[in-house]
Amino acid sequence: MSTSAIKGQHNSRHFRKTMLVYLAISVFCIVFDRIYALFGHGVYSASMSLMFLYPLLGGALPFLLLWQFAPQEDSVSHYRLYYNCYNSGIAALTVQSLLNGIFEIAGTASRYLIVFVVCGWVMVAAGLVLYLMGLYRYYSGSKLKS
Amino acid sequence: MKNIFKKPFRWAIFYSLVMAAAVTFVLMDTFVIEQTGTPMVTASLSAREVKTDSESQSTSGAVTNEQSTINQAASTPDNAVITENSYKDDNIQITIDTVRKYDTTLYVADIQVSSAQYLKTAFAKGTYGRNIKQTTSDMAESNNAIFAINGDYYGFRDYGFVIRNGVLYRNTPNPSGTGEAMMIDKDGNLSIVNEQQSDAQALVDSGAWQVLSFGPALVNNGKITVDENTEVGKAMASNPRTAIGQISPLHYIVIVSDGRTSESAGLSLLQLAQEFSERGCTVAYNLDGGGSSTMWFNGKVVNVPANGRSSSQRSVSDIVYLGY
Repeated sequence: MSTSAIKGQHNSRHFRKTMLVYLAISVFCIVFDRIYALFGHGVYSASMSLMFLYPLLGGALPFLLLWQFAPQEDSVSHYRLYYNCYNSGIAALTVQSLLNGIFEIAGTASRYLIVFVVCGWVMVAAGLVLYLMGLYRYYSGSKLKS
Repeated sequence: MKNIFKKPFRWAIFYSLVMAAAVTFVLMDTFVIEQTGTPMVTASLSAREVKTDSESQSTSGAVTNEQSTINQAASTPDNAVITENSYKDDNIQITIDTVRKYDTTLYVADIQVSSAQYLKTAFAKGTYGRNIKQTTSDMAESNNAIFAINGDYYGFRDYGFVIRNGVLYRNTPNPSGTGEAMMIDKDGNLSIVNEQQSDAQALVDSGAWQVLSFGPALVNNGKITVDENTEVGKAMASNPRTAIGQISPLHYIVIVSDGRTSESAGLSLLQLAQEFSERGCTVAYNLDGGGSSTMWFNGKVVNVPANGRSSSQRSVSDIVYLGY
């Protein structure tokens, strides 16, 4: 087996593993919402009920696409920075959705939730920019490695 | 150092710790940490005028009587007649009926006072602020109340007008729903105000003595203002409730219902409004309910508070009470 083939397998496993982790987090979010609802006296929160969409659409789906179509992770410059930044953003948005749900159900709110929203979207955007820059370099032939 | 986060899991561990700390702080800030607030405007002496019984009947109009409303040495008059479900003296009459309706136990207090000065509010620990809480019983006892119910639990939110004893503490309108608040003026009359269309300071200047912000209004101008679809936030239809209404000058109805138990389902807002309407209330307003709902009379909790799975009282920010 060639070195590039081994690398390809490794990268496929990386994307696949990340996708599966995001799927597991999505399922956890759904289960958490259902269990929380048992103690909420019928009070519900759309924010909590829909928080699974962040890891599902923001995590599992993109990494499914990367798994299927993207170049190897170590072919894209600054991949690790993108990976950390983007995942951190999705995590911040998911946690914000969870906290907002808890507060809505309790009938209160927090002035600090906006910090999670801003940080989350900034990190997601920064991660996407980093990845697109890496892709640009990859396809323009420079193939700079992080 | 430059590549410290390039190794797998290092960033994840670091970020997880940061997130855990942030979440802990936000939860503590929202639910636990006491944050004492201060009045936005110190009340002028004239703003603290309340008509006493004799003053109400005189032709000279309101007379400043600040001390009559603040930290009075409360005591029950010697001629008070107190039974298990009633109280009567020269100035305050309370009768509490227990009613079984809608598969729920309702506690209906019919209250008549001789002056607005006997209808009062109090903060938990005597202090305005977020997460400053006491049970309705503790607040009632520390204020020597005769009768008390939970208030609007203003300290659980950062919005909603807070005016107590003529002092403005918070002027942020309730952004959700109809933004309805209940105003008690210096004569003890209840009215409904729309916070989104009102200025809190202007309310104080126009004679607002207390403003409680929860809602919605149940009855206004003698008409029921809720329907079967009206609900507080995203709560289910039947809940423990606390509400207050007015029949005529200085004549009030307070209803607290049980709920969330096998014995009592709880009331919808429409059912609650109908109870006030049937008793002739021209104005009625829903206060904080659920686990907060508590009616306290003569040293005892009258209803069965539904605080989670226990039947203990929930600590809240404030009470509405009757006393000297």
